[in-house]
Amino acid sequence: MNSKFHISFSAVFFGLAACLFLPKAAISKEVTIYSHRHYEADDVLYAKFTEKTGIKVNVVKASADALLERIKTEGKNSPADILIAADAGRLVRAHDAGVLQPATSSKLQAQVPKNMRDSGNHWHAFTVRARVLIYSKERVKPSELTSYEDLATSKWKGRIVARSSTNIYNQSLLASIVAAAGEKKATEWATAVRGNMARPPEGSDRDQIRAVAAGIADVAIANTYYVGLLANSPDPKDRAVAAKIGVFFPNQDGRGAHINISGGGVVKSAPNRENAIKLLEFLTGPEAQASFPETTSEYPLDISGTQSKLLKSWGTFKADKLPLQILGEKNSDAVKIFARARWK
Amino acid sequence: MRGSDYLTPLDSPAAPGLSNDVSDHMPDSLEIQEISKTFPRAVRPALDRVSIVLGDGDILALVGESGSGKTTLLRIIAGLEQPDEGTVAIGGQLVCSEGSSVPPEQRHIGFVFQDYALFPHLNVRKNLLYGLHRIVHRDEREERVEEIVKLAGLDGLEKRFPHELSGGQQQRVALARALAPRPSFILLDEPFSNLDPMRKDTLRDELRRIVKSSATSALIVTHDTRDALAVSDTLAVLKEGKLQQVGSPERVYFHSTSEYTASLFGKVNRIPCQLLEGEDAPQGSPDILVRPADLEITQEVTGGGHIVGKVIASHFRGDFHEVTLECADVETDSGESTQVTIYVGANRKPALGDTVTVRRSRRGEE
Amino acid sequence: MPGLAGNKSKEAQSLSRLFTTGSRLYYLSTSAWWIGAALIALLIAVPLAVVVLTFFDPPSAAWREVVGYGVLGSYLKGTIIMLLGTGLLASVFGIGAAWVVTVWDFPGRKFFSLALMFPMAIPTYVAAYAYDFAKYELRDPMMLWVREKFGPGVMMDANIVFNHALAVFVLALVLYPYVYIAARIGFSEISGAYIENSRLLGRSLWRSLFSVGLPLARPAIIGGLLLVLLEVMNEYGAMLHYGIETLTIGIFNQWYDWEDTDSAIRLAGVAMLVVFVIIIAEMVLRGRSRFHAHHGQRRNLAEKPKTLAGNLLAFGFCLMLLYFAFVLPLWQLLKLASYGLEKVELGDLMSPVAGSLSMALLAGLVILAAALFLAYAARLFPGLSMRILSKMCMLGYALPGAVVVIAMLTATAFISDSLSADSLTTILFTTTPIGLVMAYAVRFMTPALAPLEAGMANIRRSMDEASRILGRSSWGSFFRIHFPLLRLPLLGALIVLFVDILKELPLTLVLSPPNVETLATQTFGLMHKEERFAEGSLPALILVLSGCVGVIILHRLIRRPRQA
Repeated sequence: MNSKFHISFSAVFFGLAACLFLPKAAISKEVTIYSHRHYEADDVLYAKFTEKTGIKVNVVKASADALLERIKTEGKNSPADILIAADAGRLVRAHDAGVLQPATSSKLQAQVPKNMRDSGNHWHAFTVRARVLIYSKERVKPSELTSYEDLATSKWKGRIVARSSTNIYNQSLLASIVAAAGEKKATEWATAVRGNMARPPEGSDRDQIRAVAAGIADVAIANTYYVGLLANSPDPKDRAVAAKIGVFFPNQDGRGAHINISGGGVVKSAPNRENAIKLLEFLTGPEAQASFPETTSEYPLDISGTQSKLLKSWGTFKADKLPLQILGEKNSDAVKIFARARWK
Repeated sequence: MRGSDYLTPLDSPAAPGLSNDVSDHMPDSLEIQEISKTFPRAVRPALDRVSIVLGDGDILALVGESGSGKTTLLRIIAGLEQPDEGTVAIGGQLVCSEGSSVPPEQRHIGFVFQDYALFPHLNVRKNLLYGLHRIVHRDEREERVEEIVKLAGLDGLEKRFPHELSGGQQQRVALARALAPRPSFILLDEPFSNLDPMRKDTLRDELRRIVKSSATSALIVTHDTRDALAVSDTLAVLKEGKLQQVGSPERVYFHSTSEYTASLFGKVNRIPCQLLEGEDAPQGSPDILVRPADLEITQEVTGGGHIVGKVIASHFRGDFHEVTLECADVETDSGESTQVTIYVGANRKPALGDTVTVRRSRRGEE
Repeated sequence: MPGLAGNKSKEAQSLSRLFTTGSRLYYLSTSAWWIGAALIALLIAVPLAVVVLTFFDPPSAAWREVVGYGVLGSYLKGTIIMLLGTGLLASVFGIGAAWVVTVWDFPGRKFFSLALMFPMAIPTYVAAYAYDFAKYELRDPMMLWVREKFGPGVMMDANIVFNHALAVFVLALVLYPYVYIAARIGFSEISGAYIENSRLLGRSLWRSLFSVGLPLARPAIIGGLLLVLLEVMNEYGAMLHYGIETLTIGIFNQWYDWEDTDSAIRLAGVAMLVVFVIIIAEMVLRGRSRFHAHHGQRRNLAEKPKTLAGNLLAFGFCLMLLYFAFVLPLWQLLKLASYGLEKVELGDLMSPVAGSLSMALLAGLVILAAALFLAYAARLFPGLSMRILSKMCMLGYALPGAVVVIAMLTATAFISDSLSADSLTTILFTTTPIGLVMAYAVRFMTPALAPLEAGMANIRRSMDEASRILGRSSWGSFFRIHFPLLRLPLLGALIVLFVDILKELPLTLVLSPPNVETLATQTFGLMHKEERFAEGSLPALILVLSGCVGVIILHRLIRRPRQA
């Protein structure tokens, strides 16, 4: 090895190392987002925001837990302005950890319904997803379906598929049932639904929808936007799946369908608080709200006001009014109940 | 033939510069005293109170069979092993005593390993430069390399890598590398064992020439007595960790002080004999040890002291025939007949079954 | 002797001078090696010790639930099924492939003998995603038929069986190269000469392989099989994907969903026990033969198949194996990537790629430096204590990543509690990737240390001694002699480390600082969490390709004739 090699090697090595460790240079007019959402549609929206306001957007994408941990440890020096999570439970947890601050803005007050924001305005939702029943158009009439609770009856024996209980969406659904009916009823429900399954829990929501389309099961529990992802997929097989299934919103005669949100909160130490509030206003504003149904197939905050053809085709629905922070509080109960029900 | 004498006396001049005779006005290159070493779980000591002095400019060959402890001694001198007891002094300075030891890199000695240990990733020149880092000036280093290349006859090989060299060339590089930093003395561990037997003699003489012309003292360890005799000024014989004899090659060969030493250097005939009247020996009736080269076949049968034997075997050995006689009238203590080996010139070979008379050769008498 | 006795005071002086300056420094500088090695070993052993110690604390309520509701039982069942199934199938594939390319000189043999190693380059979880199609195109139609014939209860069971079988099949497809490589070495290098002898004694090649080749190659094959089983123990992404409950999955479940450290540690302890049993089994199976299986000269035993059918059989077997293990998954990824390329701008991919590659290189070099230090320390102090230290450092390789995760986090928490240094966890795991690199070191010290130790063993002792006698210190000798002579093993080890770290999932997933995303976590995130297979196939492809490059370079390195 000659010295030339040594020099060039060291240069490359330290250059790479520097990439890992050096903080990004600061620019005055900017906002930094710590986001759990990985949609490229979000990046498009951020670009639009920059175009409109001249505020540069920095995004750090990672899991919400890791991001929360990072904000906590960075303390006062955290560059984070907004924490964005894909479920209410995580936002509740962030608020409990004391890293969020209230965002007082008349625009936000007007644009975000009350049950979709924290009582103290520490976080605001900007998209809504409903956890619904996906059924086979061939084998199930929508009139046979009623509620989540109905899935526990024996007529669904061997006809249900659902994903693993390690998934946060299932945990939130069960948390809402615990909130509505108590731990004992919820345990009975989980055990019975597990017993009615056509196959052990596996894969994703999308896999459950596929199983219904393939005829393995008749009903699946899944989030609405997965149907959208399949319907808009570049793969023709996915689109064929979407054509075979229907979307049913359960509990319309009762508390309403279980919903969850994506939302964000302004970080307590935010260096660019004003910019952060502007971004939240933008995300909850008309332009962004109109784009979410088209790009990610999520519902806008005004669920019934969507103009999306696909979302409209599923029909309007009544959503559970349960304050979403309850989902966070009941999460650990839900996890334990799933284990007792052997819903792996 | 006088029974009190083990071997026929021979007046050989004492080798000049014999270490034990050197006066102490100049410090010896190496002086080891009472070195003992026992390896863990060994039955007997590898070295048992060994003392050797290596005089300035001297070449000392340490001879012994494998397992005699000679390599261990070499490694102790180099600082690669620690002795249990004893001291090592280099150029008059103690480097090893009472469990404290100067590390090998500070002993300033040279070492030629049995496998030469040439660094395979360095060419000859860089191998030679390796030990010269204490010379500050680059020019001086280069000058020394040039010097040593000439001395060792390595001209034209400087750019070669070790695996591109013949065995003999490798040995010369190893020797040159050891000599380059002008060590107090050099140690050579079995330097001849990896050489082509056909060229071994030439290479051995070459080695001696290089060492001598560099005016460095050397301690050579070898199991080959022929090499030891040819290369050394002084011979030391080691057996099972104990020093047997130290002296000039001629003295050790012809005046071995033990049967072990005598037989180590070549074939010896053991001939039982009786004491003459008036003579006394401590252990009763002794045997005489005679080298085959000191005996010859004779036609004259005069006086006593000769032996008559029947030829029972004869092997061609090139320059001579090795003839084995059975001497029925010379009986051992257990009453068996004695066998005597003689070297006979190729043109004077007796036939099998012949009865011949043996006497001391003229050379022995002179 | 006069020389000594006469100048006693002068000698005493020079002696004391030498011992107070040179020697003390000398011992200090050499003992630094020992202390350094002990520190590295400690770094690795302490987390494991913490797991073992916590195991003896009274159990938490969550642990009682884990045991009480049969969760532990199903974790164990899943683990054992996967171990047995994958071990068996990988052995069939690996030994079969090695046998075919050893015995038969069929067209394409040279190509296959290299190409059959390529499946190694596919990370297990990537293979699992690539085989996702089998669920819809193969399993679901089968299940419908089963339900029609036997009813929904049977379908439930059949579904479970199929998932396990698919998982076993996919894992065996990408893990068999460990057995294949070991068996090839076993057949051609270890038992080659004996097989030749057996043929000279009148036995056919096939009978010779059975009666001499297999028994002699057994220790090597079992060594390869051990690696397969350890990989199965470590598997996270693929098991999650197929919904198979194993101990590794359980550890993460307890940690993430239950947020119960205690039961996670206990599960980690159980996983350690299973690994222990595997290693004991390996030792028993290898038996005494372990030691005399030294490598001889490589022999070419192959002969041309006598019939066309023989040619077709050999060619067909290799082709099928390569197709299912490499071509098909790669094709699936490429197909997905063709969708993905429309969605993703390649420029956006550059930054995670650079981050991932630099992380792997950085961690690889750090681990390599530590391993080099250990290997040289073991050479300087060839005693028992150093051997134990270096064996301790190799322990982490046997442990599943999930166990290492738990061990690292628990140990850090334990230490920061007892030192009341709250920021320790932050420094190690949040603001810097130091903790992640340490965890990699725990897990990957063996692939770094083993080739270096072998390389060191190839450097004759006399080299060290010659260098020392020529006046160089232990450090000086190291940089001038050992380091340059270890170039090849160092390069080999670096490549293995680089590829291993690049595709490592469970450790990276948990311990990487928030802003460090690697190709592995990106693949997992996109494919598993977000189910964006098209986008996820791009980082997955980069992983596979870098793995292939690694395999090719390693193959070249091994084939290179040794320096004289």
